[in-house]
Amino acid sequence: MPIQIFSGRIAFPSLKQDISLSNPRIEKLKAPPAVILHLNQHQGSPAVPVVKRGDSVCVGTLIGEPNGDFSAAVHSSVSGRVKQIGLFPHPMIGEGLAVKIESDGKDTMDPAVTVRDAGRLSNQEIHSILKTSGVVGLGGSAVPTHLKVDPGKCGTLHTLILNGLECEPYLASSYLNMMERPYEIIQGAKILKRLMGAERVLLAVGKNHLEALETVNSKLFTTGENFIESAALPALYPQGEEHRLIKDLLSREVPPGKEASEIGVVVLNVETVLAVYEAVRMGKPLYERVVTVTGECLVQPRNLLARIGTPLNDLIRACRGFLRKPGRLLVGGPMTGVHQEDLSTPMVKTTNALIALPPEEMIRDEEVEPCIRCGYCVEACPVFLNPCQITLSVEHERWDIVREFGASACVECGNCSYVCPSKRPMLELMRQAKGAFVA
Amino acid sequence: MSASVVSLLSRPHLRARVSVASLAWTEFLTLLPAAVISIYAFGRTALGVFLLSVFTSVAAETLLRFFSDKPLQFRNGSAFLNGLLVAFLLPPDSPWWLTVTGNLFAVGVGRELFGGPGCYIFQPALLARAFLLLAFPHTASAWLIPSHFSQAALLFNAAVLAGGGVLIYLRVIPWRVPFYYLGVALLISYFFQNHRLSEILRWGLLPLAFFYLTDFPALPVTGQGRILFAVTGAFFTVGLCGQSAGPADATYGILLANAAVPILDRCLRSRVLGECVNGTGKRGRNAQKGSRVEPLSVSGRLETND
Repeated sequence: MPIQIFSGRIAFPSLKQDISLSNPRIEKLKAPPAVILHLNQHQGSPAVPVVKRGDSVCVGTLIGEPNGDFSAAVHSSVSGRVKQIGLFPHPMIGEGLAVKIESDGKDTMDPAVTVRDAGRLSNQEIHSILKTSGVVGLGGSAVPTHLKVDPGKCGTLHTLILNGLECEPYLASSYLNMMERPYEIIQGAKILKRLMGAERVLLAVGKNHLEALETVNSKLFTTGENFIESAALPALYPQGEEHRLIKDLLSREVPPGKEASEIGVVVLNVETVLAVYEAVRMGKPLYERVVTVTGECLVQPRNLLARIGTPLNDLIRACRGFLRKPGRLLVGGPMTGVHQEDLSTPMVKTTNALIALPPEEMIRDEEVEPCIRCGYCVEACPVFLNPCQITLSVEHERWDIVREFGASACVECGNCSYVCPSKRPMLELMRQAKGAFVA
Repeated sequence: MSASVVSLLSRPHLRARVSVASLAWTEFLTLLPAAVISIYAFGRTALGVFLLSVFTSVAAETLLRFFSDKPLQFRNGSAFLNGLLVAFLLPPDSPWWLTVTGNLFAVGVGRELFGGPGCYIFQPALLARAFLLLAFPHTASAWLIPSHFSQAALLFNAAVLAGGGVLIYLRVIPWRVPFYYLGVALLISYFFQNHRLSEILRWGLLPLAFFYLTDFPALPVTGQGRILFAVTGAFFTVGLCGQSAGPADATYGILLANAAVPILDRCLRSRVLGECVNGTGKRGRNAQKGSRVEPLSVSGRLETND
């Protein structure tokens, strides 16, 4: 089977959807005995703890206050008692300050969690609700949502793109949310459209998930709404990456290293939109999300609506454990995820999947060979960089060439590493190149 | 460059099932049918040339790398492929010393002196042929490519075409290079120089286009660069072949194009996504491609950004 590259995007031999969707329902996972809630689950400064050891908390109680504007709040996901505030393993950054809460098993809701009439709220109120509910980009970016949709800061925001593309193998949480909760997503988009003052709302879905597109469209029809345009894009990786998505959907380009809001576009994952709806309408802060626990090495792959802070151990136990020893245990997709050694690590807001990758899928401990200048990486780069030239220049410390070839535009999708026949650590070298740009 | 080991913890965790070895061995296998036809056309001595050439190439590389403390790499097949590529450029009745000299030059000077696979500038087999032509003009001028119009020549070209087709399908070689090279070369020589097709095929254009011109290290890395490279090579080839009678000159044509690669790589930089966009995000040569939705009508008022 030859490598399949389509103008900066790659097609995987298999998207492995059958494994993740062997149980194609979102199942609610009951609260674990204890959760570990990290204060740094978003981009920006970590939240500041507002509880102390021994405090009793309910589901949805604020435990971490946003530290400044570029930050997000953190809420308790169980009811119980604060056991400890200290350093705990973090799935993305290694280690971080977190609050451990022991559950009393009662799931008492915080009185602040109440249904509201979203139509009566002013934009100002919605904005502050988003900020205090700790809603962040759930597709992986973890950018606090209140910063992304603030028209005051970003100038005119005329287009909202709902990103329903899941182009990495195994991932299924966005798809299932579109299938099971289309109404909530539509209503969330409505709230955001009003907040942003957007003129257009687009829903982008992969061609492998057309039934999700149909589900949302039929819900639009039955509710008499027609403000969402839908588009099916090829199921290639990284089609869902913000810059590439905007280019293929709107034929517009975001300047390298800039935010999409520079050209008036906001891209939000459908799950983020769902979280916005729940925060604004139901008054429910972001304390749970769908996580796809999957992989060939699990007895029973499932899609769990799990509390944020659930240790990976409990997620795996809910899937009846390992069938065999996984080659790698990933939090996130196989292209962007991070390998985990410690099973007591808790999931965070961006944890969309836990994948027990089989040893045969994993790359072997191979010798790196020198670059043969095959040009696959140039073909596979979604932003049309020349990773071959840039990485060679990094190895020879020719930072002038790195600069000349515009390495700062790299979106770190990992395509160059994926296609490299010499198995060079392309992505790591590209990140070094980007680092040189900042300095 | 020191060889390091892929860190098991670094992302991405999936890799395409392609390696340097798989590329080289695929190319080796697709070239074998052509070699068989050459042996059929030129007889048993040709078989000796092929075997000795491959053996010398692998042995020379292994010894050179062993004595210069570099990791041995005969398993990845590039030395085998090199031996085969050199053999096609040798005369059918070449004495053993010519085969050995040619391969020693290809491996020692053409490959290892430049830093091994991936680092050389000139296609090593063609460089070796150029060397032999200069050093032993009378002995080395013919080659193992059946070039006089005959059944064998037709079969040979068909085998090369089929092999090249397989390589393009498997994405082992970029399609642009043979396509533009053959296209431009045939166009010029057939229409402007009035050569007959059989005469053009005698220059060995097909094997050169599919197997020699497409050697990765001696190619630019970008698509545009590769097109320009192929066109340059075609111009040099017909310029040299069209004037003189000898089939050998295509060698120099490709070597000259190889010399242009560093310039092409440095000067032809493709436009990065979003670069030179004046705030509206509208400009772009790819703006029309692959879009399902018409550009926004409200873009006019966003011109305020720099």
